[in-house]
Amino acid sequence: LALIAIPCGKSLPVPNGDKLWRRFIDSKAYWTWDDDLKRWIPNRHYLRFDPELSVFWNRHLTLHGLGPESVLDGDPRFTVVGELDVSDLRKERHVGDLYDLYFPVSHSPNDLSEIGCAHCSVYWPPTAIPEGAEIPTKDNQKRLQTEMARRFSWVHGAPPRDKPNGS
Amino acid sequence: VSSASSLTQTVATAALAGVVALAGTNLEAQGPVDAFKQHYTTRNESISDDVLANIAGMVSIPTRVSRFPDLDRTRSDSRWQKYVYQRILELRNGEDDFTELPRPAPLVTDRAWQVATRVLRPDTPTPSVVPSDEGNVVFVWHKARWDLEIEVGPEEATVWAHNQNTGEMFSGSLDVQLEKVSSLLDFLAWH
Repeated sequence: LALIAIPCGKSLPVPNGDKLWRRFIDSKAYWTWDDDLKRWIPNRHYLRFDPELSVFWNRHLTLHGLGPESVLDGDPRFTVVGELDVSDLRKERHVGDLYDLYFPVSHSPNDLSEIGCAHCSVYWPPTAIPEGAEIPTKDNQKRLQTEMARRFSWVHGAPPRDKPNGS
Repeated sequence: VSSASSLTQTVATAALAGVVALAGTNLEAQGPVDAFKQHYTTRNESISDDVLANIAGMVSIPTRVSRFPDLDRTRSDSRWQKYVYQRILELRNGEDDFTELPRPAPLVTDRAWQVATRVLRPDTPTPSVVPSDEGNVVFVWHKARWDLEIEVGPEEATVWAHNQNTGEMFSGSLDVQLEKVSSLLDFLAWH
């Protein structure tokens, strides 16, 4: 019934409070230790915007009866699924000491994979883009990617356990 | 003639003395190096439409690959050395997953180790060591509300630092920012 109400292939608004899923590789190259949070966060270099960051909309996958493991897309190299709260990305609100980010999020279905109908795009915050430019400065890109990395939680699998000795 | 003959005799005697002296030591006289034996020759596949293709179609490749230095195990007081060395070695040997991030070239991993031993002090907290999306090696700290990255590429090392409390940022060439980086690493060592 829900699939009839929300047909695949049509772009729909992504409400605040919904979740976005992205797959990760459980290998040291993809994680950096955050000694303040006492946990691993994604290596920001894996959060590439070209020109947008690809993620998948949990609500749409759930309508298909799929869970977070579906974004692994059957590729055994990917074993971890991270989750972002849409509100944390774009809503004007403070999350503890974290900065406001203002990342626009939109539903951008494609047919590149079986779950392409749940594809969403995260874009650079317009407020971070200098006048006359198309993307933020490199320094600001690094800041925004790092802030985003800190907001991931894990809904399938887990990053490495042991922190770097001496960190 | 007599004088010239005497001079020749003196030089010959001195030369002989030198040989005898050398023979009494463990020094080995090194013959000329055959540079060609240290390379092998192969077709240069990268040359295609180049005007030199016909005359420079072969290229010499070193037969010996540069070796990564052994870990100086005498530095047992270092917080970071063992972990960083191991991670750089893993990146160098391709013992990681490079599906989504490029594997750094040996030149880059070797430079990363040089930068680490030059910039980090024994009490510096251990950084994460990861590849960048450009195939560089990055040392990363998220600690005491600071984000610090030292990124080592084939030609230069750069730094980016960000204070989460104040929003302060600094970045640029590591050489230019070395003083600030050293101060920040000192700060992180005590937090």
